[in-house]
Amino acid sequence: MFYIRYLGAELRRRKGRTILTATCLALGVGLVVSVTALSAGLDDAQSEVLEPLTGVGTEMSVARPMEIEEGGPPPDAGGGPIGLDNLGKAGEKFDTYQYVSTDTSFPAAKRKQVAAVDGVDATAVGLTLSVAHVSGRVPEQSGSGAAPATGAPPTGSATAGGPPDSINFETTTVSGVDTSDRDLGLLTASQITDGFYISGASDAVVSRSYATQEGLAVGDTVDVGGKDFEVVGISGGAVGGQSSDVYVELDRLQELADLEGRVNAVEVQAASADEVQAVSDRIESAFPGSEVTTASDLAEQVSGSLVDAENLSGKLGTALAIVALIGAFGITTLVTLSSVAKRTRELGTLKAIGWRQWLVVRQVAGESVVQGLIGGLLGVAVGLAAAAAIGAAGISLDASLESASSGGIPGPAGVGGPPGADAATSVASTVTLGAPVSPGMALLAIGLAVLGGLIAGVFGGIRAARLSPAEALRSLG
Amino acid sequence: MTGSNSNHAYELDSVTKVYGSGTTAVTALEEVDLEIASGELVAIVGSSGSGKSTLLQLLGGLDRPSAGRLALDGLEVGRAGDRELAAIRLRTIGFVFQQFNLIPTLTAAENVEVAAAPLGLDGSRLRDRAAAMLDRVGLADRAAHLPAELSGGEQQRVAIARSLVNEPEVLLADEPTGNLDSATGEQILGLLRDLWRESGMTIVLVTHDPSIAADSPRVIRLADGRIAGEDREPLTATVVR
Ligand SMILES: Nc1ncnc2c1ncn2[C@@H]1O[C@H](COP(=O)(O)OP(=O)(O)OP(=O)(O)O)[C@@H](O)[C@H]1O
Ligand SMILES: [Mg+2]
Repeated sequence: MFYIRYLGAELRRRKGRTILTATCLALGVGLVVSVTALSAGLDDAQSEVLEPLTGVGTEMSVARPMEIEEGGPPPDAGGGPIGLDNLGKAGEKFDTYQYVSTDTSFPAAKRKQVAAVDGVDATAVGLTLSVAHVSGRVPEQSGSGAAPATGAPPTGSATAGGPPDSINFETTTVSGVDTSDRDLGLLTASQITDGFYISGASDAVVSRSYATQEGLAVGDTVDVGGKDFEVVGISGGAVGGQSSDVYVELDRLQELADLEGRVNAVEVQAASADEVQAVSDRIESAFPGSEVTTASDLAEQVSGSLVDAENLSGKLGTALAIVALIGAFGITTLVTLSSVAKRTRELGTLKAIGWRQWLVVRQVAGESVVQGLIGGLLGVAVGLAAAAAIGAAGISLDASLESASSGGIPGPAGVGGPPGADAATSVASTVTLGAPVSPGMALLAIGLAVLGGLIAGVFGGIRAARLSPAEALRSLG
Repeated sequence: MTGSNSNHAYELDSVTKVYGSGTTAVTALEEVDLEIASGELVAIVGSSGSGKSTLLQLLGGLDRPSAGRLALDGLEVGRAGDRELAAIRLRTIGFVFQQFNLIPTLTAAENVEVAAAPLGLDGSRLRDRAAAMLDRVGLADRAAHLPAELSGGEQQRVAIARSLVNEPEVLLADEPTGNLDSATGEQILGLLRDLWRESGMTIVLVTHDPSIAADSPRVIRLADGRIAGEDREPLTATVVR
């Protein structure tokens, strides 16, 4: 067809203009593809990271955070303030377990109240405590440097230079699990990656990180509150941000911590995902003092380089892409307008020899649209290259979630907490960043570039339409 | 239409053309009365700014008169719509310009095809027609050349082939030799005269060159937008065919 040959000749023989507009559009669109691919990569990374951290969307967790105003020691802190003075006379051996939680415990029967709330599908109770195992020999209270200076980290404590060598301090987070429902609660069957779920009073499941740290495997024995439990399984994920080291039956933990019949969490399954927020509000009003944590609440608490990258790509990336796209569209339009201006006589001649208005406009706009198409294809190539570069860079991102409800224990008075004692209270996850370019995204990019060409074509076409056929006779130009 | 003489290609009745308005208004043509018979060869002469190009634009349907009546084959140009004028320019009129006005990105053959493309011929017929026209102007061997690769005379031949490709009734040429040396100009004029004799087309050409005018059977002199005089060799218009 003649018009297509003409169009091809214009693009081929006015290379400068074709290359300029196609490159502008390619860069604009390539940036859009890169940013979109990056943000898709971050989304993928986020869901990969968040799912184990926050759990399924319809699940939520009800707790009663300790109220600071009440003052005094937390009611659940079994042994009262931990001070070395309480442990016995200097030089005496001691071996004691302290059970602490930042969440107030409440009777397990409160569960009925939660279960009765509209929109609640299922409930399970649980108790999570930090178990501090302190053992050793009561040191001299002289305040003199009795302990060997080597390896004693300086602390702010005025009374002791640091934990004496003779004292061991270990914190373990332990959850008592309602094992009647294996799909809901602090530990669900789906979390077991090795071995089995808890099925007996002496069974324990340990988290993968704890197992690695302690060198535990299925079949080994783990000590909880001075009692031996058999490790029957390893749990992989940490649903709901609850990342206990050890899981045992609820009854057993209640017994050990002297908290019979009491729990500090109700895990709730909402009937539908749309209702999560409403159910959460209803539970909070039905159960005074309670605080409900939903998956989206948890998602908001996630921090780390992943979140920073997401914020960056969300704000800066989008802004950059929009600016680049507007710039590319603007330049394309200006180049098209100037080309029409330069071709005044040529376009006037077409009209003078009998081309209808529409044919001339179509020719001008068609050139721009095809330039847009070329730019779009180039842009997708640019975007794919950028995405491949991002993937090849192997950037790793991390996300961590401070666990609000499981009881982190501060270093006891008089004893400097051992390093890493509170590591168990946050959950971290690392992923490698990819930038996937989907076919839809590529099509969208080509569409955007064609749109850019079309916008330029419309402006160029309008200008071409305004030309008088008499322009063909003007002697200048 | 008023009962016009079918021998008349053009009938102009008090045609006035005013450019602009108010204080900047320029009257390029004033009350021009003119008849051009079908098959005539007419030269329009006059000093610069006398309105020659303006008159040619009106004859070619590139513009409409500000006042008066201009009929082409009995159709009043002033009342025709844009589409109708475009159709007249496509089928009835051929244009040759002083600057050749070829499309720089198209080959000689394509520059001829461009004028026939709106007729919707299929590709091979379009090509055949363009090739035949190039052959007619003696440029068959230059069909694949771009305008920049052709001499001025050759470019004007391509432009003439383009103007003829739709077999128009009227050929309008605005200083067709103005950009050519005199020898080449002579060849181009010779070509136009040959075409005129063969086809019986009406040809109106604007020129500055007194020798061209002297060779024309009818010469219309314009001055300040008015017809200042006319020389006619009474026999030529009717006898030469
Ligand atoms: N588009 C226009 N707008 C305003 N004035 C115009 C326009 N075209 C022509 N004129 C004016 O109309 C008058 C006649 O112009 P025209 O081009 O017809 O002269 P011409 O005889 O062809 O001159 P030349 O021999 O220089 O080509 C001139 O005064 C010119 O300035
Ligand atoms: Mg002129």
